[in-house]
Amino acid sequence: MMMCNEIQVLIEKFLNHDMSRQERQDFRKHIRNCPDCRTEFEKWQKVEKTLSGFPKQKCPNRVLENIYSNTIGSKPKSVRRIRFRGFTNHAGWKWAGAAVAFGLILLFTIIHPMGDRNKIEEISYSQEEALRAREQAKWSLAYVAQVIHKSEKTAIDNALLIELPQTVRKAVKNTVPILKGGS
Amino acid sequence: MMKKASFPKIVQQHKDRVFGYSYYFLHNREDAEDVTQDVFVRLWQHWDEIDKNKIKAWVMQVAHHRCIDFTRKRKRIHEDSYKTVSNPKSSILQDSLEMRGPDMQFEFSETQHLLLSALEGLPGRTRSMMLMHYFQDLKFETIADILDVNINTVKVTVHRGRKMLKEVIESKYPEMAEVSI
Repeated sequence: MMMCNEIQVLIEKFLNHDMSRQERQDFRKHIRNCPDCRTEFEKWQKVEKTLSGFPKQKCPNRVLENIYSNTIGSKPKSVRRIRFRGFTNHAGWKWAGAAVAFGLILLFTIIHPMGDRNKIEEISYSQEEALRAREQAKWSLAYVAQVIHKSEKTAIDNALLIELPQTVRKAVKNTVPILKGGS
Repeated sequence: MMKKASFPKIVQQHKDRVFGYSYYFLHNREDAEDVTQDVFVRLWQHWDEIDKNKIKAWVMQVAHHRCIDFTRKRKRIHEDSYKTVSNPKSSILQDSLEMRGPDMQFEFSETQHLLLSALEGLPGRTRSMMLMHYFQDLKFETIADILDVNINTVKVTVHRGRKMLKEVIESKYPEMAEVSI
């Protein structure tokens, strides 16, 4: 069992963080049960807390500038304070960051579906699709040629000569007489 | 280690500690600024000779010696005015009244003022160890390195300092119950 005359040595050990686990347990137990030693320990703790509570001093910036100008020549970029008008506080930077992030998200959502659409269009221009569309155009034009007046037919023929691809023009030319006769 | 790239990082890491120690040692802001500047200029000049694993001890050692030099020089030149300047109540309190700014924090309690005065009465080495341990949070091992003494010497000396300060507070506040921390 710990004696009161040991308390000064143990307080020193406690303050220096030099106690073993067993010593700390015995010490705490004794402090709990002995009012005199507890009072003594509290006095030491007050001194300790007062000493630890002194404000920490910060080195002024002008000293840093002098140090850098006398050593590396100028203030290094990593420690140079960069300030922009209107963004001198953290809130300004936060808002700017949020705006940039929002813009990027918006841009991504616009570009992403466009990419998908382009993909679909590429598929629709495959050879098979083109042949089917050409076939459709051939039958449609043949129907038109069948029902319209001769002068209009000439106009369409002329238009076809200029506007349509040669393959389609040939298909129309071959198809119309057949439909004419077959109807 | 690249000198030019590493130097600013080292300065950033230790500037407040060097300045804080010098300030509480000398009780004069301008002198503390001069010591801080001098320490880091010397670090730059002696870069190649210094063990990079012991930079903290090195800068504090230089700061400590420069503070002693400053005190001696001041004592020699201004014997009379030194007595006034060395009174922490006059200089640090004066600072706290006149030079409040973002770089400075002066919120001392009554007990802290009492301790600042009491620290002045401690032997030089005890005072230095107390300042390093409590004001700059340096470990006993580092203090032993800085002052080139045995770690047990540091522990015993710091405790002797605590005891002296406790006695000062007890003489002012016998029960110590009314002590405001």
